[in-house]
Amino acid sequence: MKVAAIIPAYNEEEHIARVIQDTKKYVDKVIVVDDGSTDKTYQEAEKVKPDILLKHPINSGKGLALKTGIEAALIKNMDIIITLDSDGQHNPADIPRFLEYFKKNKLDLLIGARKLNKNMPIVFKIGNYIIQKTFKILFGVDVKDTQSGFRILKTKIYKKIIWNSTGYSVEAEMLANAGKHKLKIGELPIKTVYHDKAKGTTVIDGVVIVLNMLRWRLTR
Amino acid sequence: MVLGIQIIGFVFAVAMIYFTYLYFRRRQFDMKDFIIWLIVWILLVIAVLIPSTVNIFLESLGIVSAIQLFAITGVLFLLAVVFFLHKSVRTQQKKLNKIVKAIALEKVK
Repeated sequence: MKVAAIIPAYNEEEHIARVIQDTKKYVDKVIVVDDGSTDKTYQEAEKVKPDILLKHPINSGKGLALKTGIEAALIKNMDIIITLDSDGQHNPADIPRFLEYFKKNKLDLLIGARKLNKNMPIVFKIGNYIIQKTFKILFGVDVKDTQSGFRILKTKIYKKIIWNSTGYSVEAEMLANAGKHKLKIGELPIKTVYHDKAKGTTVIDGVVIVLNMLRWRLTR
Repeated sequence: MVLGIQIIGFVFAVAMIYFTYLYFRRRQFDMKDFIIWLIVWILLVIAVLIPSTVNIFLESLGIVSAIQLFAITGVLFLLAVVFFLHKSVRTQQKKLNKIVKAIALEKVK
């Protein structure tokens, strides 16, 4: 089974090279999608030679960057996809443990649930709690972390879980679609490191995610 | 007697007719856009210069004054414009995403 890691990146010149190098050890292909960065993310990524390095001509959001990456993986006939964030918050050394659990339990989608630890900003903890509870009520899927960007999925489920969101709602929409198709979803804890509190999901993003969940519930 | 508000309304409508014509000449508006917006601004000129023309609507709609009619129809018109703009932006966004993805994936094939 061929495994590809997809790393969507936007203005991550500081961390991208290390994330690529660390990820390379555990997968067959590393696919990086530079989402129209205005810094030297692309050049930094190029230095460490990922297998596929793609660039969006303009910033189009994480959702589209993931779609681009997954479609590149489909073109290259990959069987399993791992998505991880480019800011170094996920530890690529978790990949073997995740792959083993994923295969052993014959899952369609495995989520790396971030532990609620002291490293996690308080706003994230509250936001995650609200999103998690709303998600459970609306979709009946009980996962601790609907927003984690660290995931493993089979490429063949892509058509079932394909999303319209381009921003931070993508993870929740992916999960909502997986729940709707009764796919086998699993969860394993991961440790995360937050390098930059100014980046990532904001409170407004959180509100948008909850409103989007209501919309998906009503329209699907 | 011509009121100040009538002068403002008239100047506004004439300016908008000018921009409508300008965009049409620059081919940023097609004939359909040009005619629709021209009708909107001409109706505004008529209503501003001859307010009595709107009186026929006031009684049947239960509206007290012409100013109220302008405010209500103005808000409804703006809501409709926002609605159609939203739809248009969504459509454009989808097309743009398709192009961005296609450009990025070009070298994979």
